[in-house]
Amino acid sequence: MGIKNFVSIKTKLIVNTMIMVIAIFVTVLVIIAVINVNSVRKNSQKTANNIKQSIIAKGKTLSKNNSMAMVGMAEDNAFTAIQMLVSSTVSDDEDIVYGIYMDDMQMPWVYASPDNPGGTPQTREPLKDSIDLWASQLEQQDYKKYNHTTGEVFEFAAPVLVEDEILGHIRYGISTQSMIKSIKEARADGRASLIQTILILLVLLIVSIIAGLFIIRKLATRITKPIGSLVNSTKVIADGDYTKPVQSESNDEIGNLAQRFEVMRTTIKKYTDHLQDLVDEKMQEVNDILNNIDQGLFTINLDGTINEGYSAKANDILDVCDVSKKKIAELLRFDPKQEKSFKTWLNLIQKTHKSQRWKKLEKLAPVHQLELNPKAENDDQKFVSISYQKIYDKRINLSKVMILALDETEKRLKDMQMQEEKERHENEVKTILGIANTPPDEIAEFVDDTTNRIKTLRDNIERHLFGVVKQRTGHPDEEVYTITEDHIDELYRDIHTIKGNAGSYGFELLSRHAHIAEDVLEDLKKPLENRRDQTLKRLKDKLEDMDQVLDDVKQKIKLILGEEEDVSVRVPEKRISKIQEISKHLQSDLTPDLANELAQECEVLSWKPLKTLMRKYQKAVQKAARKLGKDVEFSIENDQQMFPPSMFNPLDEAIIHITRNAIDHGIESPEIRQETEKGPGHIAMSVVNEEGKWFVKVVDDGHGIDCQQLVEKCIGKNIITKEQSEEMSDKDKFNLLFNSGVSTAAEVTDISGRGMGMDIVYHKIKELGGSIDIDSTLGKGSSFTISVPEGVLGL
Amino acid sequence: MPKTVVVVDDSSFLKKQLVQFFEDKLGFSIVGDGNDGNDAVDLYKQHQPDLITLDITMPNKDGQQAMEEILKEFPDANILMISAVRGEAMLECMNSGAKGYVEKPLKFNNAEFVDEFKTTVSEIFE
Repeated sequence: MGIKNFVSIKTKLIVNTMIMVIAIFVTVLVIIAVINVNSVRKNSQKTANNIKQSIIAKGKTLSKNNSMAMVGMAEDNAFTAIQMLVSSTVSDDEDIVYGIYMDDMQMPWVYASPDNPGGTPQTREPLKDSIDLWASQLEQQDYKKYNHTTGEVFEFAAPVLVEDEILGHIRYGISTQSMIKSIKEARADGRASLIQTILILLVLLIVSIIAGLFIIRKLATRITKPIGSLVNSTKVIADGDYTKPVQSESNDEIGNLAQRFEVMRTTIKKYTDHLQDLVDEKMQEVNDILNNIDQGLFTINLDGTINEGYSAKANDILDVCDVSKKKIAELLRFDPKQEKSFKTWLNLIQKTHKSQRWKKLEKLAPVHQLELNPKAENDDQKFVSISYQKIYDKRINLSKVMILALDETEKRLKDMQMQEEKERHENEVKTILGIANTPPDEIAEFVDDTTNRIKTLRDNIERHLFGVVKQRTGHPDEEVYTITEDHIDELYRDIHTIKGNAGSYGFELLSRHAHIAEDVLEDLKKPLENRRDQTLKRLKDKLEDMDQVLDDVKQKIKLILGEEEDVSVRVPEKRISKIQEISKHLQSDLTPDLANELAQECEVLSWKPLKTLMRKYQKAVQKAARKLGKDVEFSIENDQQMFPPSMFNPLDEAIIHITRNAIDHGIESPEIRQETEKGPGHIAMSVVNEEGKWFVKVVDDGHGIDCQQLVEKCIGKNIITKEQSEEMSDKDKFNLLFNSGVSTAAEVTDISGRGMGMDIVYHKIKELGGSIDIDSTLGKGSSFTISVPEGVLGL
Repeated sequence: MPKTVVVVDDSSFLKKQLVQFFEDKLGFSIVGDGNDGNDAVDLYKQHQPDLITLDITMPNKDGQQAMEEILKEFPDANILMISAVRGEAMLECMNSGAKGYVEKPLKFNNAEFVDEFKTTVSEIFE
């Protein structure tokens, strides 16, 4: 990443400083030049004035002195003397360009000039120029500046007076040439000194520029070197290499900055190191997932072309050899319309991927599901789900689209199974509700009626089938077997009645099967009767289905209403409404939780009161009592409590043993009981759940256990020693009952008392992880308490 | 100032539901409602609302045509397509400049649907 038109700080520093130095110098130069020019002008002006004044003074003196000197000469007409004076004056002073003496007639007596040093006039004519006229009018000394042939000239003229009479005029012309020359010289001097000054300054400038350049370069280098190294370090960082430390050798702001950069670098490095770990870890995870899931991945560019890299699984799933060699339309099996849509979609996502949620855009893609035809004959049709993911480049512009293909054939299969399962459950619930909601006698009537009808139907169909098949096998002497309208009506009536009844009681499955049977029956009416046997067979199959469903209904009736004797026990309303509620959910979704709840509810429906469950023990008790001629009453505590029907099955043996034992050994004979005024014998059972255990208690009011007798018997049988017996508690002594070969009854009956039994009970209960507790009071009775862990009885 | 909306749907029942939803749940002010594409164009021109919702299948002039007409005159119009038509037609609408879409059926007693609807509307004004 470079900067356009990069200029280094060093260059900037040097250029700027140089510009400043040069600007200062130029300014100084201009000022000096202006001052110099001004002073030169002033000086030359002054010099010019001075020279002018001295010329005027000189001219005045000269003309005055000459006029005075000439008075005598003119009076005497001393022509030669005058000529001498004037010509010598002219030749003595080089500034004097001419000297003239003219008489009052303006006739020149002398006309001396550097060219005519003798002074003899060239003409003998009066002088008539304007300057000659001006001079001839003068009555006293005066001067005038005019342009002479030799240049600018001051003419000084004075009259030569004798007693106020003007004899003539003496005139001198003094040139200003020397003055101009002086001024020029002064100016030249000034210019020369200016040039000199400027030259010196220029030399100074060059020297200082060179020196400045040198110093600034050094300074700039000193300033920019740390910046340069900082820049290099940051360039390294910018390139993504965080390993090289940022150099910081400067003790100024740049050093400070460098230090901060270093802190930043180390922080970023730490972070990126961690990030790299994280990324590696994630990549591993992703790879693991990719290797383990059945997902095909490939990417396409925004023009729909497919990129090289893709997951190998993609080939398998999309049934192609090389995903990247195919066109997207081939891979996703686009029809022409979908192909066009896909282009529109690619266009849409490019435009709107920033403003629209991908979820919504993805939904608009033309294909999300593929149904691939089987490759081989035995293969199933394949269901593939397609999803799309956006891929951004570094500048967060959409650059690619990842397409994920997932083989969902099995999922579909499972979904279908799930659906079937759900329907099955629904049917169960409806059946149960049907049973629970209908008076038992009606149900019984329905079952009887349906059973009979199915039997009739089966017979009739068999008969028709026999007839039809016999005809088909071609006995020429047989009459053509016809299934008449009446026959069909007869079949139809039965099927339809079953369908109607089943429907009205809520046995939907049965009703549905009957409905299908009706449809099959319709086929029999069709004129195409040559396949009647097939139709009849199908009808028979349907009938079997109906029979099976009826069996299921019968089973459920048994489960819910119990055997015939329990028909009077109704299912509580509360339970029914609960199941109704659950079944409502079944319409929408059957979750495992719901299914579980439903299963529990159905289970509870089948629960029975304790009274019913204890009946078998009661029967055993009564049978035993009759046999022994004893009068025994049997009572159950809380006999309306509901339990699963098979709840006490694991304890059957034990309970029967204990109850029989109670009757045989506990309850006395009627004679003895009469004597002791105890009345009829009584056996009470109770079931209690406490602290995670079930307690089943059998209490009799017989004569109890004779502890002494029991101990003696055990000593006699060498089960314990006398010493041992002396240390035993009453409980320990009662427990001796569980030893095999111990029986307290004097005579052996076929009910109990063979000296076996109690030890079987003991081991049985131990096996279940439970225990038996015996308590007894002689003359009053005994109690046997079986305790088993809750789980054993499966509630 | 609540945002203004014009609701257009040929089912008066759905329209009523939508109006109620925009008023009660989204706090919009309903400035007009119409039954077909012609209504949509007229109402948009008349009110220039912050948002207009269009069904795709409508009598006289369908939603896509109405959308295109509105966008021709008002290129910045916020148009929300609400339709049971999926796939190509919805894709075309989005590609031609609709700002968002909601799929029918409108399940206003389903929290997830309502949230999704709200998000879609709020995204238009982001």
